Amino acid sequence: MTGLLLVLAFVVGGLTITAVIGVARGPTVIDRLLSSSFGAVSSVVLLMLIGFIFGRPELFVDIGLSYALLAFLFPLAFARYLESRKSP
Amino acid sequence: MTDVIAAALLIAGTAFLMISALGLIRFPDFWTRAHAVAKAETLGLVLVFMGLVVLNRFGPGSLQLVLIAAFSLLVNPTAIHALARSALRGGGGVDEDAADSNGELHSDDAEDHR
Repeated sequence: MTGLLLVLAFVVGGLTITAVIGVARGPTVIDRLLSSSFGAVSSVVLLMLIGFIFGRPELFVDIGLSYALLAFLFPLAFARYLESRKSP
Repeated sequence: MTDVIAAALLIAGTAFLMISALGLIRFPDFWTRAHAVAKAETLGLVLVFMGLVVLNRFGPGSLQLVLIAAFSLLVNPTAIHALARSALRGGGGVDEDAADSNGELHSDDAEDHR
């Protein structure tokens, strides 16, 4: 089971690198924000998989919970900022 | 048996995450990318976390996993929706040259939808 978790962790790590590529490539600011939101979610998944690979999930879920509370809300804040910046 | 269910959920969730990343890289403009990220990614995260809860045999830490999954299910589509709304209202997001080269979004359309 640890082998499967290791393979899935490498795949999800590749998806996080994909999100970084999307941030570097996206033509507009909104595209970069979307890619970084994807990177936040996939890094939460990667953190949980690493916790289960190390065999200490009860240690890692608290870190993952706090990171999820912070990282899932930042596109909301950025969207409010971008919307309020140009509105008449 | 529990391991088989957990492995099936984990592989299905990772497959959904991969589909979402493929859409993020390959789709032509912002609206289709937001479509790929908002739905497939949320479903992938929830499936992976359910697989981890089953793998954990509902032991210590499962409550936090369920909490993260429920919070993501609430907040992630809301955040992508807010991004799409700010892009539609032209709030500094989609610049007009890139939108014209994609052939879809023009600032006049955004004005009409306002």
